[in-house]
Amino acid sequence: MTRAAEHSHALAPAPRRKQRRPLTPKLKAGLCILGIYVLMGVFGPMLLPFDPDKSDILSRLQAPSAQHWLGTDQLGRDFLIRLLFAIRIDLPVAFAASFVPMIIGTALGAIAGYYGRLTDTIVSRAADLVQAFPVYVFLLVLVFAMGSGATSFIIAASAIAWVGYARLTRGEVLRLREMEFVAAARVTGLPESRILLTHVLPNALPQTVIYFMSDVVMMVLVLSSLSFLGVGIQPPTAEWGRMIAEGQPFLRSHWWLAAAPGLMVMVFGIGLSMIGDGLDEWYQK
Amino acid sequence: MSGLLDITNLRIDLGQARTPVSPVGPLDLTLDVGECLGIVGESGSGKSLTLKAILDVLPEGLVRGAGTLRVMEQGKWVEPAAKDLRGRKIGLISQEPGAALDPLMRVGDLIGEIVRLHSGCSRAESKTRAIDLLRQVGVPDPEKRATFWPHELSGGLKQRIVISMALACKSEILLCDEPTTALDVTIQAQIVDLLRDLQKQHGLGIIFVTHDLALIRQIADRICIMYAGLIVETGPSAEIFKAPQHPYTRALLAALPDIEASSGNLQPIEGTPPNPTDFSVGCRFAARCALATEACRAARPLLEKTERGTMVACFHAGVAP
Repeated sequence: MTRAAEHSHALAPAPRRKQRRPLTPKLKAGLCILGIYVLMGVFGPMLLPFDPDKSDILSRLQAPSAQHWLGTDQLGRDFLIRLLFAIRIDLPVAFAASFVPMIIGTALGAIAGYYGRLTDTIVSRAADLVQAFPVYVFLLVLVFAMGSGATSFIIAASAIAWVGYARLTRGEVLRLREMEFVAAARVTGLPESRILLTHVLPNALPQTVIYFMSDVVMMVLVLSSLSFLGVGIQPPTAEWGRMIAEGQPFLRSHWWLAAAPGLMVMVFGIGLSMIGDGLDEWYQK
Repeated sequence: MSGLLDITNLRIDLGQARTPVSPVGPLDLTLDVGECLGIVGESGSGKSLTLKAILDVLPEGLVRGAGTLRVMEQGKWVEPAAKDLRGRKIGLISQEPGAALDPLMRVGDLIGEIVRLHSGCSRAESKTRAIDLLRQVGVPDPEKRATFWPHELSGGLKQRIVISMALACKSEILLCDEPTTALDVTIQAQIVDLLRDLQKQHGLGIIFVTHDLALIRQIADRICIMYAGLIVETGPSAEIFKAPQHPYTRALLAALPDIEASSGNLQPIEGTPPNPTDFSVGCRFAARCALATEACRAARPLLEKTERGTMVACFHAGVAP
């Protein structure tokens, strides 16, 4: 900017506010996929006149028809409603299993990074300790010990997944702590805790949110893997991993019984990854 | 004049060095009410560190080693902890106004937060007070600008916001760390004018750090010339510019372009300042000084009064080279 322009800018009335940055195509596509899943999960089962858990052994393994659009499974349950009903299990559980460790990990990482010294040593060593175990084995042990089910899955996932958030936030906070605006805030007399909460943490969060998106994908995969192995969500509740496992014996004749839930997991994963990537692009712009 | 700030023997140490290293000090500074003290020196002479040491916001690895810092509080000298000075008695205005503002906060909220902290008033009231402060520092259209994010403002406006943050604390002393270096010349002049106005209005004491001699000549009542962490010459601004006594001060002024005497080339100072890890026992300028003798290398000259009312740390003070 030339001097004259700079000068007049300082004296002129405030220019019109710029519009918000437009969302990137990737972000839009990802949000669409997530939106469709949520809509399907909320309204889908209401529109179908079936009970997802009630078996009807006489009409088992039917091919797709006008009545059962995706046919029936090995216990004669409508397959489509089970597929949609599973959204109500997989999505909230995966989100919770990412959200709880996000809160815990971000808090611990922020404290460790900002205050350093003993807090940093404790948090970092604890993170090392958790990370030293193979993820799936550790999860299996924890879920096994607590008994399978959504709650114990969320607790077990939180016990492990906080590490990623803590490391991420710690690094960001270490970087931000040395920034001039933090020193400026300190100079104005703001207490340290307030600086951390209102100035440092908000600047560290974008990275966390992006990581959260990929973590949800991970949690859907982990949840369905555990259910596939039989220690996740228990039957008869519809859950994608469980459904893949149940569809496996019929791969030759009824391939869609295993493929469709797999597809549901995959598309959901792609959608959330796109949100994560898109957010990243959007922040960088 | 009445005193406002009195620093004696201030030293900044390198925290974890095996042998003690002090990049700055020991040095003494005083500041009176309504006075502008200029600290001049080249990069690395420790001017900014001195300011940061006053508020104890030194970068990691550096600590305020020795020294006492006293401020005048209701007619009495007190020696408060640095953290009790922050946001109250002393404000700091930094070189990069862009970096000093949290990018994720609207500027009105940024100022409002400080107002709330110090007065405990409501959110709505802090908003109007923030707008008042913006108006005081000459931000046009303050109601609207309060809703702007820092990145939407020009450098000059950002610096005005930083100044208003210091005013929000009701600071009596403003430490200005090259506040105009990152700005255009015209904006520089505006900011300097603003600081002067505020100084007059509120009786602020200002310590102004810069390497811009022309600028310091305009605004400072008193000047400290710093070299390699020490004050080598100090005194009333006019005296120093008229008759510099220290060879370094003279060399600095000789390197300054002058419109009236435009004849001849500018005189650069040969060599570079010493590294804090190998400060000698003698005068730190000796290696670059034309007048240096054995005595200069053997012992460090201390600040001594001259008949002109200034203080100089040189064995050969006033001797023409």
